[in-house]
Amino acid sequence: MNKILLGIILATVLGALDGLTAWFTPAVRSQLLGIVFGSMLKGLIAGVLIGVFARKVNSLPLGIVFGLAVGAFLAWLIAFFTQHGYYFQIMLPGAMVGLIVGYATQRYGTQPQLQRS
Amino acid sequence: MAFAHSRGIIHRDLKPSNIMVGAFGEVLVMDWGLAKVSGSTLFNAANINPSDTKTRSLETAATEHGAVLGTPGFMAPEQNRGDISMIDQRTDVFGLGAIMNFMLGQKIGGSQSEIVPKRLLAIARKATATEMSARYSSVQEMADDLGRYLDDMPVKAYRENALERTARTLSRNRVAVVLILAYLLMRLLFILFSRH
Repeated sequence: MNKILLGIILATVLGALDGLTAWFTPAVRSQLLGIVFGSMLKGLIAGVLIGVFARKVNSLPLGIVFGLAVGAFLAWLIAFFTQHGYYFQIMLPGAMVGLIVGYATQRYGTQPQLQRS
Repeated sequence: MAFAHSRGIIHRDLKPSNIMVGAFGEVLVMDWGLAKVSGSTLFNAANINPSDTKTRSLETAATEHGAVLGTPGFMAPEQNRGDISMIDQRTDVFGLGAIMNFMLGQKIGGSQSEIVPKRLLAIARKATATEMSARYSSVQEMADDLGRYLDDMPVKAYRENALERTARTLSRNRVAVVLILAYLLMRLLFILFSRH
């Protein structure tokens, strides 16, 4: 599986799981569907960005740091524009998801085959 | 050894004292004095004149049926029996397996060690099987299995159960497992925290 596809699938699935855990927060339970959808969309965007980075840059430490940064930033955007709070509860899991996806795309994703001319 | 076998040459005397490691880590196989040459490969590969009587007499002396050539403890059963016609590359596979056992501190046919990994032991045991048909068919096949062991992949010589396969997979992906567990733990703490 190529790095971008791996990043998209992993980040979207983790994003969905992340969103579902909002059910345990009674204050936002009524918005669960929107949270899950937003989390999956965030995961999709993060997966593409991290996957593309992994394709261009073959470095595990940089991949992890980039994933962490992308995950944290996208989570911050959601916390700022939608939740108006819960920064810690949203950004920390988002950053961790980014870290996991960054690691996985560097470690497991396959590079495209070079074609001889 | 695979290269020698591809030229039709069987060493027949593989043992630790016939293997040396050079100054740059290269492995040297020594003492080809007991080597058996199959068919006319000798003449093609070494460019030796078939009418050379010295070569022919050496060839004759080495292939007398019943002659027991090799080193005890590292000889394959067919060598022990003096069954020259049965000797092929699998005889050298046995020799390599015997060397493995020597390195692992094992006796051929002895009880299983608790310290040596099962998959590695299985490779050595397969190489030193009494029946030739049970051994690796070639040195390359044995080398491939050793390569898989070193890469923490499943080996042909050992059939893992589900638990062993899971443990090996988790061991190969330690970092990913730790990251996912850390994420789940963090999530659990958040849930518990939000309830309070």
